[in-house]
Amino acid sequence: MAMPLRKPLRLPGFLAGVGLTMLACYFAAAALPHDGYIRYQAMSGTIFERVRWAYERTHFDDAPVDIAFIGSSRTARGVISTDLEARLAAQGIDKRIVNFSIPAAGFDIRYALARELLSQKTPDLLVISVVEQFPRLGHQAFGELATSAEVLGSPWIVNATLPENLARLPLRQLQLAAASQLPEAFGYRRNFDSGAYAGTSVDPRIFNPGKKAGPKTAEDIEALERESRFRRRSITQPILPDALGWVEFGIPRTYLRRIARLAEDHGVQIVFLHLPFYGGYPEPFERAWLEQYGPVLTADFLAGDPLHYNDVAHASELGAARITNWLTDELARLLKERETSSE
Amino acid sequence: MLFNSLAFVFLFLPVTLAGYYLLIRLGLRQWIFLFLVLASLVFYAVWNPPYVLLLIASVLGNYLFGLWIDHARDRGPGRILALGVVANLAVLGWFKYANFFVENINAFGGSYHLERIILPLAISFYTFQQIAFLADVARNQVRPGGIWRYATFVIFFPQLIAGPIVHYKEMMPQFFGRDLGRFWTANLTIGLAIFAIGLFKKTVIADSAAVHATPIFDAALAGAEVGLVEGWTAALTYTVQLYFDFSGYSDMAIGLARMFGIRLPVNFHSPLRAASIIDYWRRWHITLQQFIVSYMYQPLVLPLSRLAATWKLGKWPTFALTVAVPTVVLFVVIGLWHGAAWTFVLFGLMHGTYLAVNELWRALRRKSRRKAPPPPSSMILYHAITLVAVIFANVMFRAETPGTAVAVWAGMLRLDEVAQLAGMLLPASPADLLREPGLLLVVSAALIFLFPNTQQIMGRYNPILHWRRWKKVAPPVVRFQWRLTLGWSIATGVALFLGVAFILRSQSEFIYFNF
Repeated sequence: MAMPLRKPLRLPGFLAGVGLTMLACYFAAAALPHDGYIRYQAMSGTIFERVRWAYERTHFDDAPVDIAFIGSSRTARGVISTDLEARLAAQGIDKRIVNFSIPAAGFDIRYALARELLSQKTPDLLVISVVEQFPRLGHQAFGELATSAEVLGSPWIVNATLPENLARLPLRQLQLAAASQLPEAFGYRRNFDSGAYAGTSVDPRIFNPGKKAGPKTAEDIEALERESRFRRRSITQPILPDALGWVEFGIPRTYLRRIARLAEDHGVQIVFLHLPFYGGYPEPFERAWLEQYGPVLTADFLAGDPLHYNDVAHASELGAARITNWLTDELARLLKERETSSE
Repeated sequence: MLFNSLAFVFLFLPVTLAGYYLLIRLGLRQWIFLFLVLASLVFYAVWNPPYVLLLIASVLGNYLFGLWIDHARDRGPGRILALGVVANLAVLGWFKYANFFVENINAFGGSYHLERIILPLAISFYTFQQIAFLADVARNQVRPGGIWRYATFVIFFPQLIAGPIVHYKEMMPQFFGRDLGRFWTANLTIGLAIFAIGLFKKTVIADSAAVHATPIFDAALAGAEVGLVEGWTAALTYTVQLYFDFSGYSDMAIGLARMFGIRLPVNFHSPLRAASIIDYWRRWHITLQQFIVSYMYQPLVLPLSRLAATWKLGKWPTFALTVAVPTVVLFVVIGLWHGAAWTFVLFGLMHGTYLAVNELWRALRRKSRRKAPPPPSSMILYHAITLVAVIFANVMFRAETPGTAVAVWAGMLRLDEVAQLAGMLLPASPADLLREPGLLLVVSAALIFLFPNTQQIMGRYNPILHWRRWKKVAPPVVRFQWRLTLGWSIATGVALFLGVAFILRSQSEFIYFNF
């Protein structure tokens, strides 16, 4: 072994050796095994901290997940899964409902969360939230939460977060591999601690309490109107023609297709949920495209009333209650249809 | 732009290298300097675009001063040189020290108001480099060439931000010699290897040490009491951080320049292996030390020596006037050069005092040293004293306030807690190996004291200017040299991989970028 290492090389051979070594190190690091629980714990201290509970609910809690919501902060604030569960139970429908939503848009992370969920549970419905327009970028936490294979398998066309995710991957893998061996050194738990577990049925607002909105004053409403106008202006209409939508919106389309395939493999029905912002659009722009994979539920009744909102995008208590009422009927209908079709 | 950033490593550097060698290949040498100047300005502008104008103004101003001094060479250019130096120092003083000056006046009852002035990146370095140029022109050692040549000399990006402080006479023959562009693959490979070592030192070692040092200094600043273990942890890990940060930066600068076929002077040569503070300063920030000796110490000592002779002072008063006083004064100035804060003044005062004491010791021991070199036991003691003196001064260098430094020193002197020191190096659990700094300190100490430094590793390939002079200085215990072999190809790849991978852990500035 010593002899080949001492073998003199010409400059091009030497440089090729440096490059190949770097590549080999990269893929070796990417392949380093680690405990997925550590990966989810690594989000502690960020606004995505709740994913640790999502992992615990999925992997360590035997209770089923019958209806799962995976979305952004709008869904995290607007879909009170505990209330919804109680309302459905009152109609004689006994289902465990879990809201796995985390702040910020990005369908790549929804795929990562859905894949983790479906690796352990088989819900009846997987509700994916959508907003007015597909985000052009991936989620900022995807590079941290996804597996190596998922990061490496990201779409390469028009994926602005990919270079950083790829660059960050080896160090992340080294850290996770070390933390999996010595979790205490990094402040993580080696094993699930039921005493520290938030529970099977969790009101998603505990992760993001937000502000308690009082009655709206004229100034509050004016502020909402301003934010709403700003938000409408901020939405960049598609730049490329429809035929090139796969380029401009390559990331959401790719991951929605992957989620659909995953759901199909597990016999899970996909549903899309649109909660508009105040004064926003009644339905997502890509509704027709989405409907090839599942029905689109849109809470268009919310958008016109400022009392439904804490801020321009997030539901108030009243808004959440109205969403619960409406969703109870919609989900009951979908569950019934599913039951009928399976018969 | 930071050397330890992905944008630099994967975008700026490859594009600049490609453009540079393409111009050489196409025979467009006259455009190389414009290209390098523009690339360097882009490199600088990423930090703060408006301050590019200050850099350009400084370069133009000094170039004109250089022409003026050259023109007045026969008539005695002393006054023009003095004017040029004052102008440079005035600009440096305004941007670096005005806030400090006003704050201190206000502390003594003044009521002046001055908006916070952003310190222009690299101003201390490019100011000193250009003062040296003006002095060299006045001394008839160089003559100014064209403006693009001069601009390339000042703002060539590998050495722009934090040195090495280079001399016109060292750089121009390389840029304009016949060798430009020759052996480009060899230069690229050697430069890449040096850069890889530097990047590894910075991102893997220095930034790891910072993880341990920073919280303790922050806690001390907030008023927390520092114990013996914390005190020594802070002092040792910061010493490791500073050492590998600066040596890593110096390696990266030398490696980058070498990729363009340019050899820079050495700036860092195993200073912690020194057996005296005098020797330490010969090996730490070498180009700054050389600047001090050539352009500050000698001009200051010469008239003082004449004065001592005129006054017919005795041996020790002469020593005090011509060695101790100028050394302390100059090191206070150097401390202040590092930053506008009392901690830097005190850091300079400490090192100035160390040096004066060291010079005194040498003067006292001169006769006995001639008879026989010090025995090994004395040498070990000298090494230990030097190391401890440097570590204590580094605490002042790192602290935000003198009070913070005193708090850390007080912790280091908590001898009642001495039994706890063992815990620092002996981990209580496997997790402690990663959580506590013991392993990092042991590995760092081995690298510092036993292993070859970067120049020694790359010694077969003439890595720095004047390598022959340094070849035998501070020989390592463990010896090996980089070669064009498969093993070193793999080692270089691993170092580069880890260096790049760790960039995203905590992309931090080099400590010397703040000066």
